[in-house]
Amino acid sequence: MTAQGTKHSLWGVLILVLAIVPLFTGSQYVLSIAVMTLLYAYLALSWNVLGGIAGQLSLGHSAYFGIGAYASTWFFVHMGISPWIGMWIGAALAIVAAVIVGLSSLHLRGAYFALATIASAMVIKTMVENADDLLGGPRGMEVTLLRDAPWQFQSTGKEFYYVIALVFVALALLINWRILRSRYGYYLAAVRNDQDAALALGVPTTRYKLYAAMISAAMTAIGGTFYAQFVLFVSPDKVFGANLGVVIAVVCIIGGRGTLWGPVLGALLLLPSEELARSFSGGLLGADMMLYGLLLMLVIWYEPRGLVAIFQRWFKRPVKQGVTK
Amino acid sequence: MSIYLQALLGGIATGAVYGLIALGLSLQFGVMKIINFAHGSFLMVAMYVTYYTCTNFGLHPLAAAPIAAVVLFFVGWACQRFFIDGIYRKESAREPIGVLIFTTGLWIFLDYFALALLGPDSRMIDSPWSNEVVIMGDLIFTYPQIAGFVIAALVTIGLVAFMRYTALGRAIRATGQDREAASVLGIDSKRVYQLSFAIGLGVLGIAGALLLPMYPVNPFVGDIFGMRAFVIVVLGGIGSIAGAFWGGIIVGILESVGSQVIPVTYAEALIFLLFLGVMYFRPSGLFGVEKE
Amino acid sequence: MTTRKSFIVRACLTGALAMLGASAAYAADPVKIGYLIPLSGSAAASIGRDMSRATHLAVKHINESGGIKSLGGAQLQLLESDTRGDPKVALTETERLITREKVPVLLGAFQSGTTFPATAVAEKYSVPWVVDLAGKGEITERGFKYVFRATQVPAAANAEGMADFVAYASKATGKPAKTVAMVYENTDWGQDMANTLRKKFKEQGVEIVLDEGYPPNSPDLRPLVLKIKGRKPDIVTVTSYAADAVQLHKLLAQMRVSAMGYIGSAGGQIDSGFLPQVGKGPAKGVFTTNGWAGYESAVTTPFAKKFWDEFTGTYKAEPNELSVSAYGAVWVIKDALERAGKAEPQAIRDALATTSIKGTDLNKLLGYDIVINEKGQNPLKKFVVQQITPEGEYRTIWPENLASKTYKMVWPAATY
Repeated sequence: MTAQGTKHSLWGVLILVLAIVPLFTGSQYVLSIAVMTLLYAYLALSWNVLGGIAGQLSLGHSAYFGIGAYASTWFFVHMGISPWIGMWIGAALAIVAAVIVGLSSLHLRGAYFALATIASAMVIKTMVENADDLLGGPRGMEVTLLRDAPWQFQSTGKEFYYVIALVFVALALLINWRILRSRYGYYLAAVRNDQDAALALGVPTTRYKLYAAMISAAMTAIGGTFYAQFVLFVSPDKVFGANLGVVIAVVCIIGGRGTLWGPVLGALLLLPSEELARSFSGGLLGADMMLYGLLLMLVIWYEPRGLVAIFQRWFKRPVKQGVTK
Repeated sequence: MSIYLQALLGGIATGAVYGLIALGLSLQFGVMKIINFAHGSFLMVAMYVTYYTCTNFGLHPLAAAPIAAVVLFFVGWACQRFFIDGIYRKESAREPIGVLIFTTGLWIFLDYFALALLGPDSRMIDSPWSNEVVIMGDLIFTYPQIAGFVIAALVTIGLVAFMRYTALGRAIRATGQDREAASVLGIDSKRVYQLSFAIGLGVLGIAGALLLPMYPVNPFVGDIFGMRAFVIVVLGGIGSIAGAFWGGIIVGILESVGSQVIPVTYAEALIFLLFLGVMYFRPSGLFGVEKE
Repeated sequence: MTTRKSFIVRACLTGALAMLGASAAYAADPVKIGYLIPLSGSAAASIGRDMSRATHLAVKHINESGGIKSLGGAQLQLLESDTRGDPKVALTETERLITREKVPVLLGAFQSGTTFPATAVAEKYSVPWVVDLAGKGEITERGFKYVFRATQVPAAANAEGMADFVAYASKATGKPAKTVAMVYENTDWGQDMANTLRKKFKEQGVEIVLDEGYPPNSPDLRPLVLKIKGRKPDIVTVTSYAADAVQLHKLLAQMRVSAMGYIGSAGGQIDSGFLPQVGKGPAKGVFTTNGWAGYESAVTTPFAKKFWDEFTGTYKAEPNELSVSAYGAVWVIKDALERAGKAEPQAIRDALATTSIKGTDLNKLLGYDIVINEKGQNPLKKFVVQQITPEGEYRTIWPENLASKTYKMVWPAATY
């Protein structure tokens, strides 16, 4: 095996081992944190398709998350359809939403697009908030408690959710990897770096951006279903909140948008830090969020390309020395 | 009928202050092309500064306005000089996403720092002046409403005049339009950015002082006003000072009159729909100076 | 000493020491109560902190008076956790308190939005939860066995009180209210209240000229108040928490909205910050329901006086329905622990389910008896209606048997 091959295998083994560790701590609390971390890694990976690889800064992904969460919950509560199926309905609805939003705003650039996505998410949120009879309005909907019902996507123990989250993250990584290596990904990179040049070369920029938006939205919606089944409660300000849309984007960007492992790294850093800050702040109001904001600023200050770039800088030096020696 | 008239006039008064809030953002966006997500949080800071100035020194809120303006001016200058500038120069001038993320972190940090420091309670100032009203027939206006409109209008006019007739103002506009060309003419873009950011926040200081007699302040009060500011900036046109003012008035009217005919919660969505509509049909805004 | 004697002496000494040690260890084990309450992150935080103070005070009083006697004087230990008004946080914290801290009983969390999902977690783990003040009806309508609510009834009772009062005032004064404008924050609580109000007003033949929910903590409620003014209602019901209630009542006064009465829902209007922030002028004549009848009727025993004096002395603010309920809820737990004899979830649960506290000092302070029914709910709490006097005091004016003897209701209350 080549040196590269060995290195990759070693990394692979390490990751596998680390992934399994939380299952053996016997602590529901640790698993709880781990699940949320993986969920955000998954959401960041979903966002990455549009925001990272395609380079379109969407800050309104909470819309798709919420659609997924509400769709699967509604179909489960009102029609008894298992969330495993409901989640695909949610994904489909999210795709429709992505198309509507995309067609009305993908022609915008950079900051304008970002603002348009925020506005769209807010409009959707308001619509849901006012749909009292259908969707429970601001009070939200509760997922019927079944305790242990794996076929209905519920379990008392967190191990169930953890394993599923791992699978989701693995699949999201796979999707990202495939896109990055494909011709489509190559075109997206062109769009990201210089849209005008890409257009001049005949790349159907709007159409490709739309595809990215659709994939990203569908993935995010499925994440919404997971959340609904984990927390067993959905309400507009929790699943459609503006904060969520920003946080998803930020986690991915901090980690390194457009990269494969960036989103995962971002989640790994930020989620446990938030929890740690909360536990150790000793009751200081808002200390955990303060830390979050601070970390954001620090990472952007030192390396705007994110954690991935920071790690590459650290690890590059020893390897380089080995080669020159 | 008089209710609609009252709503219209009230909306104009509120809208003028909204415009003032958006003004600073428009300036930053127009000159530096940066989105400052911490804008709302700075407004919150302005309101708290006004609050503590009034309660500790017994000042009238309007008298506190210049103080808030000066404090925010320096905060803005420092922010730009020590933080934003560094990030801005590290990446492509085309899409300063780094600044956007940085200001997001700043927004979260400021909000929660205020929470930790000052607690979650909403505070209003105790000034009897803020409850005084002027009654004209069926119409009622509070002193803060009138003061808000008048001062916001005056500041806007002042700023427009500054941008148009002073050398400094022209330098700012030139840098916003074409940084390289401006530097060829000897304009130091760094100083211009610092000044723009500082002016933007200074104006926010005044807006905060105008708002406090009307609304209570709490650590998260900036979030909602900040959102409004973004909508107004796009509506009025990036970089246009007058545009921000008129955009604010429009949003104020829409909110106020709109709430009379549809449920209040929908009025919020209406503003966002308006925003999307403008972005779709006229992205340069009503008075935009941006070539899209 | 002979070997035998010394052996006996040593055995006795060891035995005595063992017993002392055992009882000391027995008495030393404090009973942990997992306590969830919003202390930051939302408007409810200021109420949360008020309630938290009352809760801590109750724990202090219980511990000072000897702790849980059936557990050898075991002291209560409050493990407090800030929910930040966020269900996600409430859920994680509930998990943590149950699985890591192994609390045998939970208390909280004031807000329906967090209490509703978090109690489901407790039910899942079969750990009992005593709800302090969340008013959402469904909390005790899910067929759960581990959720108990002793010091609060579903919001419907509150709303019924408001509507019944309007009927009473209309009849008693001969000046009937024919139209009503209902404004409420569009959260769990606000909507719950609105649903019942809507129903009752329809039944009573009062025409609803405005029925509008608004987002809580809105920066600008002026358009809403303008809308109210335009509809010219006889009554305005205001279902809001502190910050919004303050804004609304100030605006109602500023914009000279005439009405026979503004009626609050035991939310912001009974908050300790209401009067100072609104001012005596605009607050004059405001009606509100209240789950607690106030000092005059409730603080009549040394037990109650101790609570009142210590609370006002330490915190420079008067207790209201919310802090009193929080205080009472802890005593309900104490009562259950005494009867359970074990600091274990199942035993505590069974004791809570058979709670029957009547006629004690606690009942006199709260104003009602506590008997838990098969749903885990105490249905005996009643709401009174109070009016704010020109001097800034809350006087009970309804129901008649509890009404103040020295104050006569002013109706209509707001004319311009």
